[in-house]
Amino acid sequence: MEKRKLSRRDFLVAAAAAAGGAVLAACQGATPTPLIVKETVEVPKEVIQTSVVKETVPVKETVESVSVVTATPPPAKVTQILMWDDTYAPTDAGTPGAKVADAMYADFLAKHPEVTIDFQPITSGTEIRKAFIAAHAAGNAPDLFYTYPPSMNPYWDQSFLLQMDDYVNSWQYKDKVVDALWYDALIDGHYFGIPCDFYGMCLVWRKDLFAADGLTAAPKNWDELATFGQKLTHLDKKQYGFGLLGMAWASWYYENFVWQAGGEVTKRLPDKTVELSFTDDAGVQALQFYQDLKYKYKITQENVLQDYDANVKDFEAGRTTMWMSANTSAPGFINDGMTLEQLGYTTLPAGPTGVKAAQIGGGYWTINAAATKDRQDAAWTYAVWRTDPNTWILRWQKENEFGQPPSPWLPVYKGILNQAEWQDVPQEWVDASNGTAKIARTEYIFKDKLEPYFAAPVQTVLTDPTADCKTVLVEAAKKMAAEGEGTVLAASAK
Amino acid sequence: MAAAQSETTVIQPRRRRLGSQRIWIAFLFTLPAFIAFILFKYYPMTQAFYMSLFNYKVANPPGVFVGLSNYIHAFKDPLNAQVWSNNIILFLWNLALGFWVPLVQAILLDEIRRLKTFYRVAYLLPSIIPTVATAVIWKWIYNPDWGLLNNIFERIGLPPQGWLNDPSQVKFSLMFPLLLGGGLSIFIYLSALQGVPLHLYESADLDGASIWAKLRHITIPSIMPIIGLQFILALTSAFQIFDQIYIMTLGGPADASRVIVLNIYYYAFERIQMGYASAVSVLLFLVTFVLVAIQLRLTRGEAQ
Repeated sequence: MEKRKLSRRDFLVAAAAAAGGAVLAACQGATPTPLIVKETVEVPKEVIQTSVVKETVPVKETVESVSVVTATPPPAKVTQILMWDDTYAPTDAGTPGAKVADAMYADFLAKHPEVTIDFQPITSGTEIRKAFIAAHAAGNAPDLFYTYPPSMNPYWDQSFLLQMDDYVNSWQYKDKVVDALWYDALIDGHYFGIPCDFYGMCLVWRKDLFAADGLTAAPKNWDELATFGQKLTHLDKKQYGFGLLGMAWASWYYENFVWQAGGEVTKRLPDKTVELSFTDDAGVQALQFYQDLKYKYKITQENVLQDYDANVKDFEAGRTTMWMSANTSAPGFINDGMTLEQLGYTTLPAGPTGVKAAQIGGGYWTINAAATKDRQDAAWTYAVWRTDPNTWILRWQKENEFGQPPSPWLPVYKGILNQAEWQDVPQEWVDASNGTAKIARTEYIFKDKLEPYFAAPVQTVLTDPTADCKTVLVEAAKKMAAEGEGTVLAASAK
Repeated sequence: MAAAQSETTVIQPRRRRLGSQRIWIAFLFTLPAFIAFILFKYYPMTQAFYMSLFNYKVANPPGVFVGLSNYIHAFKDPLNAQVWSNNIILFLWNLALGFWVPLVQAILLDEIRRLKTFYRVAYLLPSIIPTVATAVIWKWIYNPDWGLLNNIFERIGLPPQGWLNDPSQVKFSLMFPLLLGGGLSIFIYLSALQGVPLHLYESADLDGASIWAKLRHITIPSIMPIIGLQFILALTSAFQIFDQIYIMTLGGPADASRVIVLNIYYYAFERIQMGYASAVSVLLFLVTFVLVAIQLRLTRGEAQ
């Protein structure tokens, strides 16, 4: 009997049908399996509140009772919320930070069994904003989100953020929050977030490299910054005195120098417009100092296009001996292999007129306006737990227990909570944090709109020794005024 | 006669059924790709045009209707003028440094008799390295402090250069790696070269033509359609360049390497101005479309 062969026509038809079926099957997509990551240890952004303690809430007893949790009957309804977490990657499982995060999450679940969290690891830094926007467009944005202050306004403008007046007005710690920290959370007279944690910009220095050149203290002003930097720069070893940031976040550094020079980056005018004040003498002087650091004193790296992470690596590898970083950055350096003895923290140097200033930043807990009421309530429950002073205490205790490097806490609350009672932090770091808290300023007005425009003038003066600082700043101001709604040129730019 | 007629009558309907079945099968084969094109190409393009007419709000689309305001703003924005000129200059550097290299390599490869396969594989392998990896490697090679290039320069007594850090060098630095050639273009040219009739070269040899004369009058004209196609690809690539810029310079220093697609990305995700970003992307599409149409017309004219 002849074997029945598949005719060419039949084969073609079958192949076409198979291809079409495969396409239809692929279009369905796989059921997403979110990566459940336990509670992160947000890199601690705290400082011991030694100088401003007026009264100490007797929380110690409360914390001891926190660790003893009696079993409770399961709740009638459990609400799961989606949260993004950028400090506890699956690859960090088992580290001290991860153990702290796990212990804290267990505490939350014990206190609030009606809420569970679906943690999803996400990238941080400049990429998180893109992911957040895309998630909102797709309709799967997190219910609770840690929002940086400069992002509050643009997110509010896009209606991402829930107005939280009802929640905040019922919050027991509302009036305990340091007043300045409400600045970016209050928009048009309404609350859109609560402060989670904050940091202050410090001068971080390598004590070992300083000692090798006979220096025992960090610079206190711009002149010392330049002269110390010259002493510490050894081109044969490719060691530079000071690391500058010229990339995407250029204005994050630059604003500190403008304030130290006695000026403002932007100013709110009585008619509610925002003046681009960086073209005044102080702004020009600050940018001139940048240019001098590179071409006159020759103490900064050649690569102005390197980003923050590259600056971190330079500092850790000893390629730069000092730079500016958050008071809370120590655990990151130590986890990367540096020792306590190598790390020095101090307040930023004073400007030419003796003015000291430092930027503070951090994050707010914000809730997704598009989430259901149940999820919004659950998100609020988590946010309140996370910011509770008892939770901070628990965290410090767990960090002690699991050997997570300590980090000074920049006070979020007035008159309560003393980190020193719960955690050992090097006194120098505490002093730096407290000193920074006294000179701290929130970021300049309209930073969210204007920041990208600062990269060009900063990079111009750092790549061209003949560039005129006033000219490049005026050019940048004109571009901003042409684009940024509600901005006006200062008299110095006209 | 009757039998022949009936045979004829039997054959004709079978031909018509085969024809319609072939069309049906062809349609079925192209349907998945057609659906994918509609979903992932034409629908986003249409959506982008729609978004460009609004002050688009991501959470509550579409936002306020602004008509052509986004397009007018794009023409008035001084940064846009710089960005477009950056792309044109990058294209010119591409032509100078990279466009002709695979062609030369293919011509030389075509002449090699021994170890031909080895050389072909060696030239092809670099094309499988992702663009992002190549960009990261070159970013480190160009590092003015610790990069390989300045290290070599110092050893041979030349002053170190800024490379990506120098606004006057950054565009050249971005395109310089193309000088190494390699990749799929070589094989496209090689295939075209192998299609050139041998008798043309034999006739030229009989006439005593030099190598350059054969190249100029036989080789290049014969593969001109492929060269034209590669030119179109180079043109569209130059206007759509993004990966290298994002990894290596982020548009710096001082916007010297800021390109159109990076600008679109910036407006979409930094400024959350989706409407404006969409308008710029529609303009990019129109400009690229016109340039490609002109090039195709010129190429067709030359072929005729």
